[in-house]
Amino acid sequence: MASLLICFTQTPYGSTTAQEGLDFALAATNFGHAVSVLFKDDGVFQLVKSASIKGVKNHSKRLASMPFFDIESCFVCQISATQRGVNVNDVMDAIDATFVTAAQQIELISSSDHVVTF
Amino acid sequence: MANYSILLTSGPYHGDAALRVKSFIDGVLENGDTVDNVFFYGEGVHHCNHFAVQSGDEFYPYDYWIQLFASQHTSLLVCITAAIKRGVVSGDEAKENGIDGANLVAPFQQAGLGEFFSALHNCDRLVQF
Repeated sequence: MASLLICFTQTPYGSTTAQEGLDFALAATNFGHAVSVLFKDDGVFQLVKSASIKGVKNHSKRLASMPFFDIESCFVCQISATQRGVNVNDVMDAIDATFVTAAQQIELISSSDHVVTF
Repeated sequence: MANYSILLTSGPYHGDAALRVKSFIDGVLENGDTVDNVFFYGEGVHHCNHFAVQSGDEFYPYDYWIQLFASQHTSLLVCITAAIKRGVVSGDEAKENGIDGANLVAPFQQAGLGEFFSALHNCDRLVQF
């Protein structure tokens, strides 16, 4: 079993990257890996609840399912969030996110076996 | 000796990513380490399109993967979900969907995220390009 840190750095609907990154994260725990997620840069926008549009998968609803896939460790880059005006109250209720400093992120990265970025 | 898994999420003409992954893998092998598998995911599936034709003297990544497989037997795993929605289809899907040609052929093999994550248990390092 490996520990994976998956970083989300893109907006939820700007490209399919966020969607494919989430698919990646949800599959990892199914196959015996421990997953932590870190939202940083434009990725912090994924945490804001979004309305459903026909023909587009609702990213925030899918993101809210993370705890059912045993993804409990959810971190948010404090600097990225502040720069983009995203605060604790903007984060969906379904997600229990911990805001972290740059130093704490370095700690997260060094304590994980593998780091991937979407 | 370390065993590597390569996660490729960038397309073949995404800046110099293809050249960097080539240099990296060559370096890994030179060090006496091994590459267990390359997993083509997201835009990375375009690497596996057999219909892409070499243009002039540009680096042609497709040939590199063929050579890598021939010399190292590295598994070339292509995410089936990411591939079919981008028009990279095997003979089976082509037949099923009435498509005239198949552009995903051996040694590339279709796989799911499950196969990649199962293989990851035997890998020491995962590197993404």
